[in-house]
Amino acid sequence: MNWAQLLQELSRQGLIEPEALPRLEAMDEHDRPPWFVRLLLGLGAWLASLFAVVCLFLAQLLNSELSLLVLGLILALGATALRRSIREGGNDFFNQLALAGMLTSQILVAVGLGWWMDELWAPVTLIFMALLVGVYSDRTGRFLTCLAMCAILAYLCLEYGWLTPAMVVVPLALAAGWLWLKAPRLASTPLGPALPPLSFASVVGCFALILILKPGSWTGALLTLAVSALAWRLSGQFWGPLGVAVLGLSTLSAPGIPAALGALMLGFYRRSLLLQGLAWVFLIVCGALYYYDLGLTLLTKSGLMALSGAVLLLVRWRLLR
Amino acid sequence: MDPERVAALRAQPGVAPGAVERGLELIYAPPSAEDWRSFLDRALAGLGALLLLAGVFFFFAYNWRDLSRLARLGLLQGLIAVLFLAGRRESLAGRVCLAAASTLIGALLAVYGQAYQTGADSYLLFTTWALLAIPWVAAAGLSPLWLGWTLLGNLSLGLYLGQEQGVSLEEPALTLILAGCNAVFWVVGERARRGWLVAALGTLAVGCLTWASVGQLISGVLPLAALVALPLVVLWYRPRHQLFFLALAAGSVITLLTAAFIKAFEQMADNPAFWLLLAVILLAQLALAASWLRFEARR
Repeated sequence: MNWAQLLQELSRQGLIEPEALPRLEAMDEHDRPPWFVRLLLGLGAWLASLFAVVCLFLAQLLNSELSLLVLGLILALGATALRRSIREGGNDFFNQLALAGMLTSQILVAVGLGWWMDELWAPVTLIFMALLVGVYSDRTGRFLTCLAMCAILAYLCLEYGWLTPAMVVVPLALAAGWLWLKAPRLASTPLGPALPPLSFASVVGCFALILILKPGSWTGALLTLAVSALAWRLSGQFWGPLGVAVLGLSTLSAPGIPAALGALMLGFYRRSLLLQGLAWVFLIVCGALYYYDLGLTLLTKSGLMALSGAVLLLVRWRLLR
Repeated sequence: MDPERVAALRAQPGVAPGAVERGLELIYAPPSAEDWRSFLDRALAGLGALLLLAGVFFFFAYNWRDLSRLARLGLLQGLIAVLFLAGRRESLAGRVCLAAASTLIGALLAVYGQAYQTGADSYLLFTTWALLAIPWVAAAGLSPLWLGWTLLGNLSLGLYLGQEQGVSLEEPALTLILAGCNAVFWVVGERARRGWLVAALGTLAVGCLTWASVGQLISGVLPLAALVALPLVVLWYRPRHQLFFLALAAGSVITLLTAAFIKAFEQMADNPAFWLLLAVILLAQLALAASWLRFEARR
């Protein structure tokens, strides 16, 4: 359904006056750039923020944790105020400047807190970044900030033994599933504008954490259970959960596989080709990494993969009868 | 459909209360049973085939010593023959079988080389695989398989240049040749109107060209190929309103201009003004690109 069709349907249901239709159909969609333009602008702004940080260090303006924190907070406030003053599709230079400023502020605050607080720097930085996600009204900025939060979670897992990969990956996967499933209800709440970047960042962050932290079989089992429940919720039949369970249980040491399956199902359910594409790419990467898993012999893995493939083809044949 | 665009209706005159909520319900309407059927048909066929193939590859990687050479080769050839017969059906399952068969050709060649210790260079394996797979890939006609074949072709060419011609990976010549090769695939894909595959091939070609050109800039050589190719991309896709390729060209130009600036003023790298200027120039380029792309989108 495209924009014009949506408006026609709403008008047919008496929710839009027919005289308003031409004006509403002309409402400009080009103020919100497509994902590949936002990717280009986001990467560029991130690189510019790194250059800015190097400049500040060379200028010896950042020679103490206090200067880092003060400058970081000033940049965060200034960038947020600047971004809020620009409407969608407004001045692009100031838009990019605000984004680079916001990203730079995160680096400065994180480094400053690291010098000052030792172990507590990570949770405090996470709180700071969460606040930024709430107030900085830009999709690219929110997306990149969420990814940065995932990077800090990865650091916490690797550095401190009390936080296991399962404690990070599984809740993030569940959060991602909730955001995508409840999108219609959440879209009309105050969370609405932040929903697209949060939804994608939670999925990409989950994938990245699985690759970095390499969680074990417990994570695989929990994700298989969650994705089987998702399959049941979406399809209402037991063949879907059966297929997911067989595949997940045969690749327990590769939790990326059930995670990718979940993303694939959600991508189709919410008609997001981008999410489906990400899921396929991650599925192939996880499959390739499974080859190097030393927990099982290649012969065992061969049998499990072939059996899973046969079961999926059987499920397909049964479903399509 | 962007939910924010629907939410923006709330502030518009002539829109009744509840229109936004109803609009969101419509755009988030779950797929129909027919849509699910189509999705499951493709997804289960693709996943099932991938897993079976992976099982076969893992099996032969295990190096089953008890099997004779004849048994190993015979098993693979038998499997390829079965898949060929199954692939003669005009259906998605048939095409997936052909795709699987084309992938198994690589396994067959690898096992052959291992069984007879031919001592052949790896580029020979991949090149032979790529050449033998062409009719199968063409018959299957699946875009992901064409992309896989293109990556295989890149690998073969790269290994040939490296192993046979002694061209190092760091040399711009290697990636420039790959860029040219991918550009040919891109043009063929464009003529065949292959949708997302064209975008992937374009990204591969422009990516290789950009990488090679940055290498040339670092070596102090003018990136002539980029100076010719990027305007051609813009000239071709601008009248066709293909924003993705315009964004690709813009990204490449930004990368090259930034690299040129760094090369020109690298002796000032310990001066903070250099980095500040670099950041500002990069932001200015991004802003110009965003404005231009928005202008093109509205045109």
